[in-house]
Amino acid sequence: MENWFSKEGPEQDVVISSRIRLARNFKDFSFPSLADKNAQQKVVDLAVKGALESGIENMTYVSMKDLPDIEKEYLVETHVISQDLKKSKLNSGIIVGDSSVSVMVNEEDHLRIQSVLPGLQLDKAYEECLKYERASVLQQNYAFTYEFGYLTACPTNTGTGLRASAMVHVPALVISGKINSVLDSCGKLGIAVRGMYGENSGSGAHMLQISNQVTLGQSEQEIIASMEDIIKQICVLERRARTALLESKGIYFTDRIYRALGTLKSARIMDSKEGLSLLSEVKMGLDLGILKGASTEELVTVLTNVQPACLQKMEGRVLSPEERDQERAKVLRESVKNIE
Amino acid sequence: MLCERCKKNQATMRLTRTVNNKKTVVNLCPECAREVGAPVTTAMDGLGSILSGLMGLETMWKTTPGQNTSVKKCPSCGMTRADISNSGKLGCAECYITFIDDMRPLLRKIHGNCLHHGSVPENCGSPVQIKSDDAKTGQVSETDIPTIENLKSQMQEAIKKEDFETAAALRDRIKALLSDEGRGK
Repeated sequence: MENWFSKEGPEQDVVISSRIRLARNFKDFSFPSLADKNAQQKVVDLAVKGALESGIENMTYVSMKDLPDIEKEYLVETHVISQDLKKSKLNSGIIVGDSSVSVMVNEEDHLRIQSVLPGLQLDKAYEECLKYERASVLQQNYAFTYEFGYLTACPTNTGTGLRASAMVHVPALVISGKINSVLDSCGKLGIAVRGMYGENSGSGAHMLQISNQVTLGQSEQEIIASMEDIIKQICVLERRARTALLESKGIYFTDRIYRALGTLKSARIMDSKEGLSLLSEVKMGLDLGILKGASTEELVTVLTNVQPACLQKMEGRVLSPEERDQERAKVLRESVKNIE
Repeated sequence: MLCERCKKNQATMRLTRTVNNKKTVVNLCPECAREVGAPVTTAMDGLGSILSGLMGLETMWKTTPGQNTSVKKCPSCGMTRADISNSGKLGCAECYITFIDDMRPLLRKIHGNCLHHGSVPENCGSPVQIKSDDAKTGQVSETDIPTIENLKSQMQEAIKKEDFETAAALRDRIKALLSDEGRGK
């Protein structure tokens, strides 16, 4: 499948990626946690028929039980599957093909259709999801009522079943402390904000995931348009904060970025948290034109590749935590060697 | 990282406390976190308890010891109100219809609205409908196929009883049906 993280996208100095997820269920079967084996299999069959009909090239179903642990972990780290799907004991799996669209089958809902694209492209990601979602074999069978819309296992997804989210890189808002007022406003607007790349490393990497909470009562277009407006606002605030830091702190700010780069260029051992936090600073340096020698998408690829399972997949074997930290330092040295 | 208190278990949460403007941060395992009185809830616990609160389940727990036979069950998947509020999830599409009187206020509380304004599947000839005992015996429940006329009369009833929440929900449903007709669905 296409890797979202190795491509260029709009507003990418702040918005790392955009993701749309649609939750859908079929009316004739209980939701996955209560469906019997027969029903679970029928859901898989329908999902596969939908894939064939969608016209998306090379869509294939991969059952979770046939996937090695390291592959599952890799899919979690690249945001293709959820932790829940990884641990699922059901007859569940994933459909992937030659597009940004992937479908989790028998996760919390029968289908979780998602598309992840680089930069701010929520509307495009939604269109991508529809290529699969609109297959008529699926449309005829969706659990839907005119009053409540698409019916989902959790009432927080009922209605459109649409979750629009973006991963944003906001180091200057965090460093200047202005992030709190942004978080407050998001809360008031019914928008959820979470740290990215796990709880422990989220703050260091200055990454936030923001997503809509309300799925019922607004159209898909309204939800996406208001999310895009808010994300664009965050971009404006972050850029302003970056410029302000550069102007007010000047040499101290530049020094901080060069130190981060220096450490990445020389370190022999690097844990995940430190690696992400240093990369975050270097990315900001590149975005501001202080540093040169790599594109934003190259840096985002590195951000993804230094995660534990990605490292092990590249190395082709299981690594101990100590080996991982050494390997990570090596990959990072190699990735930033042309940045100056 | 190991828990900084017991030094045995894996720390899974970071507790930040500010006393007299002095901030302390400590990494704890769930057990120690509970012992020091940190508010520990998993996402699901949180949602389950919010849902049971929203569905007014506390009162139901108190009033129904030994009355389990009368507890309403979803005819399709067997979920009860208590199951739903404990797990925070519904069992199947029909749960929405079975517990429709709970679902309308619940969805309004979660989303500020309980009427879908989004896309409609094509060929959606038969949206989910009730398959209850009533339907099997040939009697059609009123929630099954709501006509605009009988929804209007129900709305008038509700207004007379000053039950404005029900009236508003009925008004929304009438609006939805009218716009569906307008769209030819």
